[in-house]
Amino acid sequence: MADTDLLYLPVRELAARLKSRQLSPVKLTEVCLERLDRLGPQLNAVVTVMRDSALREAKTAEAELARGRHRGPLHGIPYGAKDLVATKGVPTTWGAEPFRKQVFDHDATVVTRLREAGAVLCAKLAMVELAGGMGYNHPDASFTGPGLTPWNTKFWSGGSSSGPGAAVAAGLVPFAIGSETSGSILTPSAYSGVTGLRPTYGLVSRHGAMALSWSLDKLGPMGRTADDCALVLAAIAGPDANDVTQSGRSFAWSGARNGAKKLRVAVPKGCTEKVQPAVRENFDKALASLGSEVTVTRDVEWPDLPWGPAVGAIVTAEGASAFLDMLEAGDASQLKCPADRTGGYSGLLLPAVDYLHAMRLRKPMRAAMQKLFQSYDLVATPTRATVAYPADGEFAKAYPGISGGPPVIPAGNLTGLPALAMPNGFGENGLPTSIAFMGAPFSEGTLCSLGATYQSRTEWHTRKPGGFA
Amino acid sequence: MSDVSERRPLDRRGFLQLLVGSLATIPVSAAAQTSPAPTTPTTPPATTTPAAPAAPEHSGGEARLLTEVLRARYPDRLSETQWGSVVSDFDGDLGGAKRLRASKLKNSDEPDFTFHA
Repeated sequence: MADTDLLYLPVRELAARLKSRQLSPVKLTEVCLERLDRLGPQLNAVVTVMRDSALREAKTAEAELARGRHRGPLHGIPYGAKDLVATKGVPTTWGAEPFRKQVFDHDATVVTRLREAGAVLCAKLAMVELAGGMGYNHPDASFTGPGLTPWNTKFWSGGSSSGPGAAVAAGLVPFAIGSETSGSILTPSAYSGVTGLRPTYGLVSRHGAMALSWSLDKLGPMGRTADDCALVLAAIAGPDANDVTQSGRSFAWSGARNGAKKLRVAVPKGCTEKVQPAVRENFDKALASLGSEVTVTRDVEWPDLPWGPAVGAIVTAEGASAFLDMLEAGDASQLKCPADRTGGYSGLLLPAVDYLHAMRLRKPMRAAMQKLFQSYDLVATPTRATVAYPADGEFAKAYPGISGGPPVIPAGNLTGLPALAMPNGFGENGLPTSIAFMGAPFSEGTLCSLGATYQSRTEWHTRKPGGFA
Repeated sequence: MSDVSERRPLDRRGFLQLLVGSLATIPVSAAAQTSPAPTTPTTPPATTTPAAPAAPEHSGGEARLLTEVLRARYPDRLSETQWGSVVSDFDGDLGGAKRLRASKLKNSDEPDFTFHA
């Protein structure tokens, strides 16, 4: 097998080769490092390649495996982390010029957990500056430049986890850690053609991660398959005294569904009518391929609540507070995207009453979603209404007239629900499309099981982008 | 990024005139006239609501007034074009707030976080 092909293997297959010593963690890490160095800049996907520490960790893994010590399925597997998780002694830039030289004296909990699982951190990956919290309106919103999808480098890899999306899609790393406040794992997963899992709020510790919105931020895996994401989630989820929002729950992964009863899937009314034709066709085909596993109900009314304004008020207020020092000092002027240089200021005067009203609405919002999940096990939608946006233009001008219908992504984030995005075909300009399933709190097992079943019947997740294969 | 040549500092009299003009519009819901389209999954492609376009001529007085408060706080910070973007941001915030407040809550509805002593 060619070196490149190794990096397109699912984690479970890589793990089997590493455990049986058919494959060396050092060799695998060297392949990753070479591709990160050579191809990362073509995609604006990488901030820092961690060559020395990665090779050190890989050699440790190799020695442990040689001694018969096996830490689990991530032992010896390379990965990358969005550059908002702290890594001791290595710059953690948050994708933003004002923080380009920032160095922490500790590792984020996810980094510690993955190291304990034997995974090898190879790179800090690019991201939209400050995770998009200042209101960017253009893909070129990071000091590394616009993240580019390897399927067509004239187009964006999505945000704000732009580097994780591009790096996994191009086979630079087998998996990555991304983050989502409202859409930042699902969107780059869709635009980059990878599988992404947004965990339930409070399942994965955010200790050591940049805060944009304390009540919305989540860390989660982006990988080649649903099984990969579940394996990573099992390693990073769990109690952490350093994050008071952690629920105390862990995640155990038992694998694909086997003879379970059919899942009741709701398709919200209006979620496919105005999407791009290929997005709609691929969504319908994906649901049809799961016919033996799901009972689909279409045109389900979405709860009529101000989802968008609520997530807007919360991110605006919490983001302005989180970055108050930067705004007060005038350092927003150093940000890349012109909209980000001014976008944080209005948050300084957002009335406390509006923020509190949004936070008070989250209880009836959770009640509305609980009611929905009494009738259905999952909600299915196209992850995004379009394929990736052009890398060189404003979002608002890219696809006029296209709409995804009800605000499922804001609703899922406001109510802390998990969601899984998976590639389900291709659309305009050779770009990937994606399907998303969202479930009740802590239903990651159901989501990943259904995802694994879907991916056992389709091959979209195995496709390799030309030029990077 | 401040563009001094374009700056238009507002003196105390001008501020008061703007205040009077703005207050006159608030009771008739100035924000309602400037509410942006609701946020949907297609328009904000990532973490948060993207920035609105440059300040429209019809921006509400309340948004302009709020912008002047910021201008007074940071007089040398932004160019006129950038202040126009801030006006648009306030327009968006005010429109969102109007939609939020249209969802009625009971007195007993507490915020979705809990303080622990």
